Amino acid sequence: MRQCPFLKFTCILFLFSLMGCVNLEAVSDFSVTSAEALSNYENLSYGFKQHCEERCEFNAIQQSQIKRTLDCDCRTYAQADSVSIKIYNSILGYFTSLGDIAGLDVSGYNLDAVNKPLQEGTFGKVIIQPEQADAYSSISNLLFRASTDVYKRKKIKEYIKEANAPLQLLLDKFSFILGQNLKEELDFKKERLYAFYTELKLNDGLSDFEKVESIASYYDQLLEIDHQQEKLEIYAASLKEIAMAHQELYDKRSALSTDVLKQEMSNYGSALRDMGTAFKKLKE
Amino acid sequence: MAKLTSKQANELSGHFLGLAQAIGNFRYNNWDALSKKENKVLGNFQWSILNYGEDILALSTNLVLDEVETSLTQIENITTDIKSTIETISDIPKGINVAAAIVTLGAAIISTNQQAIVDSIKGIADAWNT
Repeated sequence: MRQCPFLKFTCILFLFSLMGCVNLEAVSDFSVTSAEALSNYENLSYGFKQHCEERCEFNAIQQSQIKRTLDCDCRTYAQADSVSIKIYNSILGYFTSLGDIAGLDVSGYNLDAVNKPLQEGTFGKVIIQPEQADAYSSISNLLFRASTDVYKRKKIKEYIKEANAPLQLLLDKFSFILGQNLKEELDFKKERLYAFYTELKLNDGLSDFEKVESIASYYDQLLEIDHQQEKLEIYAASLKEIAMAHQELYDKRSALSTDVLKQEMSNYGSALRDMGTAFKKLKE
Repeated sequence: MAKLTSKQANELSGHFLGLAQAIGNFRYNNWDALSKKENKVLGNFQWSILNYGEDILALSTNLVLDEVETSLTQIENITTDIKSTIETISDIPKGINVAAAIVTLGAAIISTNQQAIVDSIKGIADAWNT
């Protein structure tokens, strides 16, 4: 049986049009939500250097020292902050770019500008009829948009594949730095306060009123540290959530536009937003 | 000797905290039994151990840098690649407009219309600069 060439062509066109409608919303939304969750780093309002400076101030108070300037050597701590910032910027940069490329809208791209001069004249012996020009224009626009979209999708798949291993390590280390190291610095701060106020109490030099005042002050500070630690815990948990979601993207990179993946990414997004709300509440 | 890892440093710091707490508890439990001098010496140990433990946590963070150096470079390179792809894709409409302007110039040259040629050249410049 002789196949109709027109039918063949229509089928090819249909396939291209399907590819042209590739929906990368899952990648785009997840990247944007991840970038937002990551940027809470700037709202942590605590860092290694600050911890060192506060310790220095506390030590001076504890030793009843009055100095013209607090001479604190916080270089190691400042370096720890710069390591954190370096990792933070690197991860944030990746997600921002991934969101940008996945969200890049190519649906408005068309070849009308090229088609127009073609429609206006005669080219050698070829005379283009208006209806031929219209058909040519529609098909070429469709194929052009589809190929641009396919190119974009192919590149995104490649980027997710290449980025996954280093990104997992960076997220894990970033979570370790904040959720363990910085959080545990605060355990030392708690211990320092406990030691200070216990000694104050045991020295028995305070009146009853002063004792009550100092105990109240101790618990206020303890509560503040607890909140700070909770913020760090939430932030570290959100980094783990981002890592799991990216792993999911990596595992399913060949089916980036499926509804299943979209649903999974949406679940991760909801979890990240919930963590963001909990983080904000602690901030207030 | 093997290099200390960030994780090992973190664990070490936990031991320092535990040690400082133990010395503290010993001091508080024996507050009246200890002489002033003994108490001061123990107190100084306690504060020094706390300081060292904190310093080790900062050091642990700095050790992370060596452990992630390759990953940092890889992610930064990928980010640069993505940006350049975005630029390429975003430049497509501009490329089309330039191509169209060149086609128009070609047609104008064939028609030998002076004004059309001048306008087309201007068209290319415009398309390039937008």
